Amino acid sequence: MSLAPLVTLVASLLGCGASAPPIWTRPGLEGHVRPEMGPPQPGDAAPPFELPAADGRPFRLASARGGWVVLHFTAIWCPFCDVEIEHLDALAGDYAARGVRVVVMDVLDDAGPWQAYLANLGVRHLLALRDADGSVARRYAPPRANPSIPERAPVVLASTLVVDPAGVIRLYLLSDSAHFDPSLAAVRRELDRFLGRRSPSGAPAVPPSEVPAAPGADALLAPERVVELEVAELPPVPVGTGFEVRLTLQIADGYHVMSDHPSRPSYIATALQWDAPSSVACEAPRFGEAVPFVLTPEETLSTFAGSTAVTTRCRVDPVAAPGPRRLAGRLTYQACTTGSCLFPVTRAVVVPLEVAPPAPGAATVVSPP
Amino acid sequence: MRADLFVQRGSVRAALLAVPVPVPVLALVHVLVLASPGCGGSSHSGTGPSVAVTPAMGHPHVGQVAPDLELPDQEGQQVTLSSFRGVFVVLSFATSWCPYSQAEQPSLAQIAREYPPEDVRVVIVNVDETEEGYRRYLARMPMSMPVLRDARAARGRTFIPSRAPSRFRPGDEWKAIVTANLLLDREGRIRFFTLLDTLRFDAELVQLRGTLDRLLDDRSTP
Repeated sequence: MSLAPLVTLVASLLGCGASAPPIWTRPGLEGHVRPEMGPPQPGDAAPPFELPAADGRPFRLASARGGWVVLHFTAIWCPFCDVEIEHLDALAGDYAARGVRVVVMDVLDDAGPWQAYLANLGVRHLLALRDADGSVARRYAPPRANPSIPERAPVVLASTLVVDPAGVIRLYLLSDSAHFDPSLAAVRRELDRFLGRRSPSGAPAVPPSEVPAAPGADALLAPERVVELEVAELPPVPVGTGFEVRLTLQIADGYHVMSDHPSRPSYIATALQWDAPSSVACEAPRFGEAVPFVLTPEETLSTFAGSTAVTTRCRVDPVAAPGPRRLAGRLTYQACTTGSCLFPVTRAVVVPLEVAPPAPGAATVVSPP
Repeated sequence: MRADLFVQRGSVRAALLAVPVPVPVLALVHVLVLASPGCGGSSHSGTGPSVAVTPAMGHPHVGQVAPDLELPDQEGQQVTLSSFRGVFVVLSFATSWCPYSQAEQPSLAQIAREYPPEDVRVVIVNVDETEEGYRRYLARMPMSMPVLRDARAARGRTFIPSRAPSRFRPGDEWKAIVTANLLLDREGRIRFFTLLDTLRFDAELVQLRGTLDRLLDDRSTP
């Protein structure tokens, strides 16, 4: 175990000279939640919720896992919120291509006025939800933030959170009228840091990894384009015999996918699931060797990069009728670059299989000695 | 997918900090850092500094005589702010829709109850857009003090500091005065003036009362 964390701990116990200044001392982040306010705090899982979107379809926060989420609480009567919402819509448009979703949640307004408000604003990019009874807002309100306000739901109004692809809160800016900036410049700046664009000072915001050429944040591939799938053609397989399916993942330069055993349980593992026809039985797929990916000096991910193969041993039933079959599978992966992760995808894999009649002398082979 | 495999709070925090020590140790460190002075672990119990109106924000500011106001109260009687000369006036701008106004309302009622009327009077200026909002504010609790009606702060906007940044939508500039709290001395001079501070919100008006008590003490112990 490295000594560095202990050194940091000792330094914070002795005084505070060696520890990093708190996030709220940075310009624009004065309203960041403080540990003494209670949960939720950065590092905590964002409280889950499911609410209907403006089109009536339910939105689950968990469904956004794999991408970044900017979550903002608003109300139509709140003058701070009212000047922020158009900037949030612009932010949603500007960051959509980088895998960021902007979710704006109305707290306690009636459906009619909220719909009319949205229509009047003409928002185009953000996802508008309505927390009709304020229960989601209450879960997000740190208990000791403005404790003198008895109704807790409005405490989070005009507050903005950034939730990472693992569903963990990375930034939580409470409403701060003393440093109010409707343009949310600080949120954009922090997003840029998280997504890996260089900060204005020129220093790389996210510590550099071992991978040399990450694609520019503006030129991310669609997740389906990141991984090319190739299946080795199978020779005809006689009934009652085994065969091996070999699926090769060709991963684009500058990208990696999480391995089948990611370094954190919350990361989305690469997984292959076969839906074999009844006459074919397959074992669990075997993945190639994982590649360590140094995300930060403290965190190394278990990933696949470059070219990797997944092999699956299968067997055709001895009593299967000869003829063509289709071995269908689903491959799930999440592709990332140094700075950002794309939405996880599940792709279809289809392997044509020709079941041949029993090979001559096969009975001799399988019979006991 | 692995959406169901959501890690527990403690382990996420430990993972993010990337410090391979048990979570209880981290919690202890938090407490110690917060308890030691000068580490940025400032308290936000509601008694910290509010947005005090300084001369840099223009007029009016502390030390100046407050602008006068003449507005109807809940009985329909015209009330003039300058008619309260001779007593201290706690002047508060409120709406029915603002949760911060709502949180302050009992504290204002309490000040009106606690201090002798010959020394201190509370005057509330309700700036709700609608009459209905004004009624809703009044109906919330018994309000013995004058609650003046000033829709959209048509008169009260003279209290918005002239150089305070205008942050709201055009037409909504008047909302800058919502939850402003002032203390006027017996000569009508502003002795305390804060605008809304959502992060260090002082619902009990602790700071204003502190100034008021000090000024009252100054008189009683010459």
